[in-house]
Amino acid sequence: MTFGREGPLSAESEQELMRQLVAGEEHAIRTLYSRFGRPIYTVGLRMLGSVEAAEELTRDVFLAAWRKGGRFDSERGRLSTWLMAIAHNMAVDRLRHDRGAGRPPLVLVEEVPEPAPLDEEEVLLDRDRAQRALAGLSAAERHLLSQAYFSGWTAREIAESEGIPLGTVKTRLRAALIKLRKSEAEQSRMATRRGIER
Amino acid sequence: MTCLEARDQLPEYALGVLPAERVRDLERHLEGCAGCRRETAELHQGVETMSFSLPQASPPPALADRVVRGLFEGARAKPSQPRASRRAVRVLAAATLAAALVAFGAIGWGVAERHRAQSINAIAIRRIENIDKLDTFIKSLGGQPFQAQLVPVAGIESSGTAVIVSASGANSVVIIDVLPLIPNHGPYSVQLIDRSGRVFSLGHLQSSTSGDLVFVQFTAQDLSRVLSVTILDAHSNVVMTGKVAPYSKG
Ligand SMILES: [Zn+2]
Repeated sequence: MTFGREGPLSAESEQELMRQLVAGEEHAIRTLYSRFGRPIYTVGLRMLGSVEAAEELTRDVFLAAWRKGGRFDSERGRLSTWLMAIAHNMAVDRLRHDRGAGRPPLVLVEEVPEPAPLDEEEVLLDRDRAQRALAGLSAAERHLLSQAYFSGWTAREIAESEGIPLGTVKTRLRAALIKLRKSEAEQSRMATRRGIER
Repeated sequence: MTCLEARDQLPEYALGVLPAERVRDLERHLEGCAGCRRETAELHQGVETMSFSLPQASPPPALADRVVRGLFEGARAKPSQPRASRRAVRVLAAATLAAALVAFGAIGWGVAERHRAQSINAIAIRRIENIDKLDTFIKSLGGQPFQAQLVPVAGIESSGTAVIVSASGANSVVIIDVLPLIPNHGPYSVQLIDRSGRVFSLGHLQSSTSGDLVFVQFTAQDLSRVLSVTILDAHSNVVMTGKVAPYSKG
């Protein structure tokens, strides 16, 4: 089975791609990289703040994907969700580990976007949808989510620094993530429908 | 852990901020609970959306190759063993293979056994090395031994050894042991070239349980004038070569 570099993969193809990755097949590694290398690197750069750390994170995420690949189950979720969770988890671990060496740079969600080259429509569409999803959150939800996502703070740490009850922090974090997921899913459905009508 | 307790921790788990000591218990619950797994998947999708909302950065073009290399190096495991020392044991590895073949002396070295070479490999790799046994083995064939240090061409990473014994009847044998090649463009085949320019195309390298690629083949052909050993990739490109020299112990 061969895989294109663009367009969504079926659950079956994702499972097969991971099987080939675990078997150490180079084309599987390259396919995976061409699809997910950039967003993974982005998470590294935005969260850890340096090109070196972003590169190291990217390499480690692919290594982890290879090691844990046998546990990937396409029936439990998309490959991109699984990989981005690994990437974000690793970045948070590093942030928390390096915490002693000074506060990590806090990257605001509102940060001015870099202009993207024109041939990267796919990436722009993904980002456009994600940003619209983010715009649907309340200011409080955005604020708490940023502290957990970008700074790697636990719910307790956020509760203490904000002076709000722990239960409230957890509830808001959950509500924010579920909203993002719903909005993204809804936009994606609409985009598919527009695609069919066209 | 109850579902209620699990749900309480899931947002932090999805965001990667749940303290490590609580992750294990939670993951155990998730293994057995489809409902909480579904909730986790949805929360992870929220995290994914967050990641995709970031201004996308452009990784350096060379990162793809570094990722591939990193993965192959990681795949080699044994991080405690530096590469230099692995190189140093190359000759020994081929010797190990041969020594183990000696231990299987009862099987015999006849042509009929060629097809069993692969299963012999599987067992041979697991045997304890004893380099003296290689000499015994070579002597037992009554032939002339050679060896070649296999060196990769530019752009390929690996190293390996070939041991060739040229003997009468069907007792000539070629034994090869190399590190996994990076990048991998297998399956790899083996070619010998002799003084008169004659090319012997032999079979393919096989993955061994040790992770190395190995090759054992008995032949009735005259290998006494072989000059070089060449490994070709799936597209018949030369990836490793070695000049044949008299066999030296260890
Ligand atoms: Zn549950």
